[in-house]
Amino acid sequence: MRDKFIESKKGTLDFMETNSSWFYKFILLDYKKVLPLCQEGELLGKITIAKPEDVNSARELTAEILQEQFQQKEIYKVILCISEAATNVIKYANTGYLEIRKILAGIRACIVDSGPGMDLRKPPSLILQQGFTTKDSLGAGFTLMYKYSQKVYLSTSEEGTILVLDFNLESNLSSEKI
Amino acid sequence: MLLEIERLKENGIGILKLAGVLDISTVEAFKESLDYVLNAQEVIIDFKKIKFIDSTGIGGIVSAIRKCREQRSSIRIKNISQEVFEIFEILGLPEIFGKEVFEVIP
Repeated sequence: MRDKFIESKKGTLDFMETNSSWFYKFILLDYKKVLPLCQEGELLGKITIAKPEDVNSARELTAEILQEQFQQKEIYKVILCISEAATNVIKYANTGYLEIRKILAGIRACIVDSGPGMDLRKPPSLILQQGFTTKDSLGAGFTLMYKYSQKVYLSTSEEGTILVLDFNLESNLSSEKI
Repeated sequence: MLLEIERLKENGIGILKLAGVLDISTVEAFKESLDYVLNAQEVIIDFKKIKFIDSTGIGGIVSAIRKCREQRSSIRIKNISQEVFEIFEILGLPEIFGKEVFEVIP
C-alpha cells in the first residue's frame, strides 16, 4: 500500500520540487497525518454533501457560523472555497461531508468524501490549471481554493479524499482594552 | 428558487437578467435560458442581482460567451460586482475573451 502511495505521489512531488511556492501552501499528506487536522480545535458545524443543492446549504451554514465574528469580505472568500470543494464532492465523489472547525490560527474547513480519489500521477499543473482552456474543470476550483485560503492540505486514495482548507481570518471582534 | 432568470428581447437585443446564485445546481438552467437569446445580434447578461458565483457558474458564462461567438452575436456582461470580477480575473476570463465583454460596477 505504501509503495502504491509513493508511486502515486511521484508526479506531484516532482512538480512541487520544481515549484517551491506551491510547497509551502499546498501540502500532500497520507491519511494518518491528515486525520489529526480534522480533529483539531472546536467543531462549529457539519453538513452532508449529497446533492447539488447541498452546495448552497454548505455555503449558508458557513455564512451562518462565521457572520458574527468575521467581516463580509473575509466570509466571501471562505464561502467561495467551500462551494468549490463541495462541488467537487458532487461531481467526482458522489457524497461526502463538510466540517467547519475553529482552530488557533483561524478557521478550518474539512471536506471528506469516500469517492475514488484524485489521480496524482498526473502532475498538479494539470489538476490545478485554470481549467477553462482544458477539458478538466477541476483546475478552476483548485485555483480559487489555493488563492483564497492560507493552506491547502490534501489526502487522497482509492478510499476517498480529505481536503483541509485553513483560513487566517481577521476577526470582527474588537480587542479588549487593558 | 436559487436562480431566477428574466428573459427579454428588444430591437435585436437579447437580455438575460439573473438573480440569485450561479453554481452546480443552477448552471444548467442558465445554459438553457441562453437558447432564448442566441438568435439576437447582441446578447446582454445582467449580473446586478447575482448574489454568488463559483467556478461552475463561471463555466456556464464561458460556454455562453463561446456560443455567442459561434453564432456571431456580440455578448456583454453588465453590472458585475468587484468581488465577482476579481474571480473572473483570477480565472483569466478578461484576458481570454476580451475586457470589453465585462462591465464592472465601479
